[in-house]
Amino acid sequence: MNNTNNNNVIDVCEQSDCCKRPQNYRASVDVIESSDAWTVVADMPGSSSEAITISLEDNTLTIDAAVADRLAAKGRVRRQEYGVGDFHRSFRVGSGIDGDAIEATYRDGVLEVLLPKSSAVKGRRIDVRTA
Amino acid sequence: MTMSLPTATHATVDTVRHEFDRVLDRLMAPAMALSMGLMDHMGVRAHPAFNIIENDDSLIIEAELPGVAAHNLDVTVTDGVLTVSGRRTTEPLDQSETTMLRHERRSMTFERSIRLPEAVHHEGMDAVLEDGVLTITLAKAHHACTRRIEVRN
Repeated sequence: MNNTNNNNVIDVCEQSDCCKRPQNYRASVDVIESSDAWTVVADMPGSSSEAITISLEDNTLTIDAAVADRLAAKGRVRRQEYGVGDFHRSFRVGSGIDGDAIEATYRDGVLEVLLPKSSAVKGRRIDVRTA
Repeated sequence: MTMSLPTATHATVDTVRHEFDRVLDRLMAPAMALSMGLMDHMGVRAHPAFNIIENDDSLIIEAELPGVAAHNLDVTVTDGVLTVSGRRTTEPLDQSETTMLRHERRSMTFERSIRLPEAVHHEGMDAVLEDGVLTITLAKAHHACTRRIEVRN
């Protein structure tokens, strides 16, 4: 699981050093693998595309979404069933990601990060020709 | 003639176990739905968490509903009870082309009703779904109905 030497890996960090941020909320994620990319989908309601930071450094993919304290701006809190604050999530990844080609979209409070596989780890289909 | 007996016994044990699991699921489901909020399993109705904020003029009820489209969301106020219901469908996957390595976000239906802590004016209601946050603003009835009455000599 911790083997980042493996190019073909993306692992969710749980209690490891890379995500010790108790002040942040843990976003729920889906991680989907296709033949040419990994996609991370994260629930991060109440943020904005400008307030989201995605970084890939030392085999760690980090996603941070800043969330403004919208409760205080609206009035007095009468009942609070969930906290409002920044979302964070990190992943250990192999070197098989084409870092320059990462794309992200934020819509309806859901962040989608597309992590294209580098050509080294993409499965290549080799056509067999008849002699 | 008695050859089928072991099979029948197995089937009975399986049936009982299955029934037991079902009863357990049914007992656990509401508690799970409450504790897990939006992180619910498919098929179980989730109960979204609410924050209630007030100011002089209005009551504001807020819920986090990431990935829910406005057309899949229903907000009603009837006799002082606010109901928020809807469904979320997470991205459909072509299972022959993709593999789900981690699956924490669930498709779900959700519904929650709360009695409003004070009377609201039915004319002054507003619901906005923005960046996955639903904000319902309700005008307080006492404010909306306040009328100044001239005192005559």
